[in-house]
Amino acid sequence: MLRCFRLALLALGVWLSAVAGAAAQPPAQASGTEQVILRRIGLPDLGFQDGLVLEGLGTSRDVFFPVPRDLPVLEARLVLRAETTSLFTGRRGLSVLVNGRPVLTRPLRDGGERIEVSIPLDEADLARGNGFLRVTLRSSGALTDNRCLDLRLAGEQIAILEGTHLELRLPADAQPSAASLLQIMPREVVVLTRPGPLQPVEAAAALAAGHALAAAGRRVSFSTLAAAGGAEQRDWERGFVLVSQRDDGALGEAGRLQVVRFAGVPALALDAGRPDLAARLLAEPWRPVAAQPAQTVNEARPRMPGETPRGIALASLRGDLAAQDAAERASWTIEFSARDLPPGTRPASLALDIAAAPDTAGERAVAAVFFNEVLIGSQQLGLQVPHRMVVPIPEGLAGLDNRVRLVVTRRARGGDCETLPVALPAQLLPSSMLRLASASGTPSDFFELAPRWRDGVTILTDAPITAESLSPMLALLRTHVRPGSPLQLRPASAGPSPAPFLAFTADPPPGVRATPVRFDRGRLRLVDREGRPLLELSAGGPSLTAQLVSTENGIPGIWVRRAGAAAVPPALALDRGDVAFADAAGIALAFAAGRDQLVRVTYPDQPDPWTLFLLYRPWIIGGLWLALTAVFIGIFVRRWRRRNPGAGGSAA
Amino acid sequence: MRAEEELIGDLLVARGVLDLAALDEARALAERWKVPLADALMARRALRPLDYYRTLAQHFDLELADLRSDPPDPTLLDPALAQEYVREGVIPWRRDERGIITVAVTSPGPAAVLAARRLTGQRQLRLAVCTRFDVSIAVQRAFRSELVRKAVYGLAETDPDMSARRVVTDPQLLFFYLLLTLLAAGLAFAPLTTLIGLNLLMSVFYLGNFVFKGVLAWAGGLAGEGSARALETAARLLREDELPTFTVLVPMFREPEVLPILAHALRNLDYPLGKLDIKIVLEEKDEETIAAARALGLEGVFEIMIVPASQPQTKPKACNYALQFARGDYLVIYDAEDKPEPDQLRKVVAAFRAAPPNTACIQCRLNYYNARENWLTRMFTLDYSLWFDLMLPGLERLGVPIPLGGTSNHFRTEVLRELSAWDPFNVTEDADLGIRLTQKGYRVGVIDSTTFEEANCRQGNWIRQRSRWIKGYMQTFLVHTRRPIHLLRTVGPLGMLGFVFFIGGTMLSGILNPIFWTIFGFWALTQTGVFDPVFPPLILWLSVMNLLLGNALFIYLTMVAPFRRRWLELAPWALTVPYYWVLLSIAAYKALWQLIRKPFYWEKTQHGLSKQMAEELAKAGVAARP
Repeated sequence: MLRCFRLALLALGVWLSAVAGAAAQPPAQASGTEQVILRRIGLPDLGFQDGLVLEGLGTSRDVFFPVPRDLPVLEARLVLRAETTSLFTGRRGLSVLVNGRPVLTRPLRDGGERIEVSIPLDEADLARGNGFLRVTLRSSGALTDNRCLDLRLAGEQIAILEGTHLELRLPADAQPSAASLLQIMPREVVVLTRPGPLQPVEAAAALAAGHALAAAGRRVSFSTLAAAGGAEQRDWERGFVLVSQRDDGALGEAGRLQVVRFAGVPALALDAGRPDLAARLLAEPWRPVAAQPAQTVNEARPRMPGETPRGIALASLRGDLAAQDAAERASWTIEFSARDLPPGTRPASLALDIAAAPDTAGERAVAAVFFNEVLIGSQQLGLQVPHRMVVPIPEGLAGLDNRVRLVVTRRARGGDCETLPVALPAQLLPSSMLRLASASGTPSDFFELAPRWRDGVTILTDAPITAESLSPMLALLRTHVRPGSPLQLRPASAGPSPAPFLAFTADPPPGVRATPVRFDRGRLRLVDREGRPLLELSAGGPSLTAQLVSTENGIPGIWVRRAGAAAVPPALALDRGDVAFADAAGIALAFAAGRDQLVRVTYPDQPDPWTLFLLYRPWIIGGLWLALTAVFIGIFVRRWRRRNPGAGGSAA
Repeated sequence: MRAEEELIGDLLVARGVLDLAALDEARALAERWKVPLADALMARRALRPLDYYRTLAQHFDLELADLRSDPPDPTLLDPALAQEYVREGVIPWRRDERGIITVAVTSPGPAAVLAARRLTGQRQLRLAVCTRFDVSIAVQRAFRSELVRKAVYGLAETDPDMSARRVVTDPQLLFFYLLLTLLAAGLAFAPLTTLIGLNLLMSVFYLGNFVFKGVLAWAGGLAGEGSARALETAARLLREDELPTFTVLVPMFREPEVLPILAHALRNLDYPLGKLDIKIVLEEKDEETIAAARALGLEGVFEIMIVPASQPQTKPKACNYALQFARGDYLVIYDAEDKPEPDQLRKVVAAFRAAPPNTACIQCRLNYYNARENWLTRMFTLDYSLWFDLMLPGLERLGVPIPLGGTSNHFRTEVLRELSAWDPFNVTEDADLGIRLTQKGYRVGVIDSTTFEEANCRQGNWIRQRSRWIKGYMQTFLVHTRRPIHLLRTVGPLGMLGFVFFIGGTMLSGILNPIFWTIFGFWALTQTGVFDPVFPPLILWLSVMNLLLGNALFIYLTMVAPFRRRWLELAPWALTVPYYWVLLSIAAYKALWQLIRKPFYWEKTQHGLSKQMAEELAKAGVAARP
């Protein structure tokens, strides 16, 4: 009997193993002859530059790694690197779930420890996520018998390090759709063009592609095909976008987007007659449309969802309006840029619809609104939900990048650790609006041009466009222009621009007569109100100078002048002011030449009379005072002589 | 009436010099006015003065002295007694071979004998008869240089600190120099702070100016009508015999055409003509006006006085000269084109009698009879209405020193002589005298009686006139700030404040206005930010308040100014007063320039330009000149 039981158990175990083995079949194993590329998608790729932190006990965070469904994954592993910190003795643990399935649970030691775990994943794990791998990180534990106290204790944290990543082994000949490729493309992306001067549409395509990728968090650089080399990479650490203008027969006025293989990895190619049209498909919200390995694009323009003539719905801006359970405090942050605004408008007010349940004692919550971290309004919310709160935005507060923060606070009931504080729901409703008003005709600050470029921007150049010259343009495009906006490159020799422009020229753009800063008058010196020098630059000027200018016809634009091949920062956020000096590290100084009285531009080599007067003011006034003193002495002497005619002088 | 006068009157009729009706009228007037018969006869132009005195001489069997062709022996005359000769009507004439002095008298009698003995120191004398005018002329000729010297330098020698002969004193010069040095240092080393400080100072000054004048107008508006009615009643109740002799000075220069208007107005005064001592004061070189005055054949109460040519040739010097011959207890100055209200002198006498004993001057109001001639006369009328009908009573009510206005200032003659009268070096001698009176412990009263005159109807002429006034205000300001502590002690803090804002404010606002209006206009047109550093928020708001509220207040005050006279049709014209201020600023800069270059130059205002002048001359019984 016992022997039969043992045999049955053995059979059962074998059967179970077979089933489990069949169920847990890993992704297709790479054979020894198949070429494989390794893609590591780390937390920085997802926007967590410094990793993330689980504070306290009982905290949970979800992280979504992109794993497009059409991506042929041979093998997948989740590599977790973490550090724990704790102050008190207790029981604590870390759980990791992948698409809801627990894959790791381990206790944590008192005091802290460093964890590195490699978790293999199977096809089922990848397939369950519907294009994403949801990794849930959860901390739990208990220090005392008082759950309330436990929740409030500080000093407990688990740092998920930036080295945490998802490893995907892919076949080297994998050809996902363009949309999928964009999802998993590494952070470093190189936009490749052919060497030598580029055609306007090629340059526009390269810029549009770089702009769209930069907006998605990529680090973009430009190079030529020859310089890139094309050496095959096994660790897929750089993405490539290839841009060229080709006459592809019937596609002369269209652009083509297709996934190709370059340097051993999937790459995106933009070609045909209008590669710039194809490039626009890389921008939100059109990106998901590129769901095939190749796509022909005849037109693609950005659209602004949630926009009415009166304003923009907050739900269509960047921010999370989800409901929160707030015992004491809940906050929502919505960000928007001046480039999100329709042309000719400015932020005027916020119309916020807030729903916040009163607490159990019927006490109402209080809402406070911050605009760019300035408190612009607060109100006690009504008992009836929702509550509409209209807050005007003071003039001068908005800039290039803006941030609206709503904080709802209420007095917490409890807190004596006998009862847990009761969290009640609160939400910023999607009907909330950013109301707009008409902007003044002539922009006086850089950021005021951004809305005017919403429907397209003209870029003026005076030199042949090469891959190397695209970086400064991208530095401005990514901060001032919405991805996907049409770009038109135009030589400066073609005359004044008919529309608001970005000029990258050595001389003032055509049609511009007066500029705040000139470069044809020798050395440049910035002085303060008292005439003391603040900054002096050689005749060449700073490495990068941006100025807000207007043509004689009143068309505004930004003129960017670069000293030689000076390095350019990745992004140039020109906000307030109409003159900015920048270098490789970013903006060194920005001011409004017409409005700002604290800084003045002078030219020591060719001073104007007013500058000379200011320079030598004490001497000039001193000389006048001496002359005045001589006059007064003369008067006194004459009067004395008149009173004393016999004393050596003739009477007057 | 004395028995002698009765006899003289009969003699005049017997000799056919006077008819009986005229004699009876003169006798009645003399009785009513309680004046000598001679004065009543002269007032009625019943006979020539020479005929009267010839008859007088015949009556007393005395020689008739013709002092013009046979002037007095200068060795017999004493300059110190010049005024007594005129006042007593007694002057030593000649000495005979026995050493007996013949004294010419205007009214032989015991009083004349006693006066002659006192003035000559002789007991044995011989008398002769002469006309009153001859005594005056003889004194003027004999003591010409002394009289002129006293007229010009009287104040400068007795009270040099109060004389504008020196435009600025040495301490003042030094003070200005130190101020300019401070300013230069500030501009050199902290220009922005200095400019902000200056701006703040000027803004506060403007604010003070607006507030002060607003308070003045409010205080002046509180003056009731009741006091005016009481004064009118008191004036009417005065008997002619109790009215004192009133000296009327009429200084003129190159304006022969307008004299008939004043003569007509004076004749129409409700005041005994025989008690008026009217002196037409003319400059020696103004032959045209002298000839015209003589040709008018004025009554004997009008005396033409010729002021010897001397510098400065100004109205106050002429008045100082004439003052030495004044016989009245009270004295008033009228311009030639003035038309005082008929009961003005009575009201003044009543006011003096009701006023505190230290009242030295009564100022009447001025206004214009050609107010509606053109835009300028309307604005001038509004200007004067605001000043005389609102601000002047306000000054009196608040106890602030009153800068007297041009004409219709009525003085106690003795106080004038005590203070050495007017400053001939100040071109607004009236304003200066008003401040000086207060500093010396006297007060100025204001009554509701108006003198109408001709408003300037041409802008160029107006600017010349106003520039003289402003220059005079500058002189007055400089003179009375020489001793600021003394000024403060004598007029008090409120008086000092009033002096600074009224005298200083009037001249300074004219100079500063163009600067601020230009800044405002330039900013409005160009929206430039170049002025922003000099207008930090506090000063910006202060300046905006001055610009809007201050100017609105002034326009409002100008609008309500004519209400007291019920001239409501003038009120809407007040909205154009900003252009009037432009003219005022032009005049202010002209004044400043003249203060430096020609401080004592009297910018003569031409009269007789008004269209209404012909009407007034016709009323005065003379055809207008085309």
